[in-house]
Amino acid sequence: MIGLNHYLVVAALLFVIGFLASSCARNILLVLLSIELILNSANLSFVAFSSFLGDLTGQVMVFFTMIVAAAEITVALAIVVLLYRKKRSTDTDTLNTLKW
Amino acid sequence: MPPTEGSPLVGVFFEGRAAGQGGSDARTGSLRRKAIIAGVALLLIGGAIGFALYDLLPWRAYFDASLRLFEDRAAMAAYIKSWGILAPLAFMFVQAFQVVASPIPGEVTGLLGGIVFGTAIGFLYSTIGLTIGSIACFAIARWLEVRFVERFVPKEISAKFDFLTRAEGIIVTFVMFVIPGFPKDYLCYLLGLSHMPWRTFLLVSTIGRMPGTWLLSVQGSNIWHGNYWEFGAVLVATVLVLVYAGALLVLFLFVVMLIDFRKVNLDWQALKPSTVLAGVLGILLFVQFYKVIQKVSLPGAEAVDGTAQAIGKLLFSRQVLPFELTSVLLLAAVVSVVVLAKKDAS
Repeated sequence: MIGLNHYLVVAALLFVIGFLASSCARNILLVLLSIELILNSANLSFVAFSSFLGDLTGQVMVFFTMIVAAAEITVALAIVVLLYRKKRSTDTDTLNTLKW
Repeated sequence: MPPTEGSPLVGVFFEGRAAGQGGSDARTGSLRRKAIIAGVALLLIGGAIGFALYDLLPWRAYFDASLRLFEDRAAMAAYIKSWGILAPLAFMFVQAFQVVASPIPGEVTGLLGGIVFGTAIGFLYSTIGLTIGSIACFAIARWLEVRFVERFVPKEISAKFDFLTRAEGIIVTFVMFVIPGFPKDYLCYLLGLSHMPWRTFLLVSTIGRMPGTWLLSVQGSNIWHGNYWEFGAVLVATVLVLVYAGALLVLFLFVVMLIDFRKVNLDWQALKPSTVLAGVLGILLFVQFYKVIQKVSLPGAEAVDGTAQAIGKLLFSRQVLPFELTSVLLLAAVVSVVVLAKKDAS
């Protein structure tokens, strides 16, 4: 029987993988994808808790997370396209114009 | 559709094919029209034959029964058991057929395997059946490509699919196979039309399908043991798959296509100090999480069903304010994307 803790461990693993990838990846698209991973690890624990507490609010929260993720990803991808037009690269190391 | 309607179409079909074989490049316009007619005719004939055979062949009963799965699973299991030694073979055939006949969703038959054979054995049989079906799709598409597609489709267009055979294309294909809910059966046909080698396809499709097949088998054997969907989160699961597979990944693919990856350095820098630091931090973070998670224990509450009705009621009563606020957020996102995407935005 799979319990609450199993789901939470999977969620923690997803979060750590997303964290590692977002801090190590040099391609900006990979960074965005790993942010999705982090958001979904939160989703997973929301649904797990909602199911084990017998309260649907957690599942409603997932909808809100999804809306935020969709908004974030559309804006971020538009920025990526603009960046690529300007820099001809999606490498995060080339984005250093704020450095001084 | 009565099968007799097929006969006049056969004439058109063969006429089209004969003209296709004899035609020269000067008449490509009319050739293409004939090829389209031939294709439509082929589909109609296939449909007619399918409908005609539907009543005759044994899989009709088998398939109808599998669709009634959720109503009467005891009768279903008894039916499959009645095949005796042939039950695994019949099941594998259904799995393979389900792939070749692409519109039939594989989820139902995947569950069936878990229900009848248990998790591990059902997974094994499902994988064998799915592999056979995928190979069949691939072979059909290859055959059609050699016979028809190469003749009618310009080289430049078919060359556009060749990125699938390069390294990043193989990774993209693999990810597509892993995504639950992705139309993998059509993907098999598409890959058959590309120049992907047999061995690569076999590896990618078999391994890529495994996680989903395993989950379906586990779910099926859970149903057999009486506990239905462990999470009563049907709506959330469906919407997540739709939003991610349908919207966000397509968006990502569009952007990937806009960016010319031959000029982009995809290498991961081999073990920079910062990478090592991030790794150590990640492991520490996970250990921390794990210790907290071990302390968590909840008294089992009674299960709630996350149906659209229940979630909708909650969303429009208690959560109505955040719900309205998200619409403002979405509006802001739309406006900012429009501003960003304008040609002279910079």
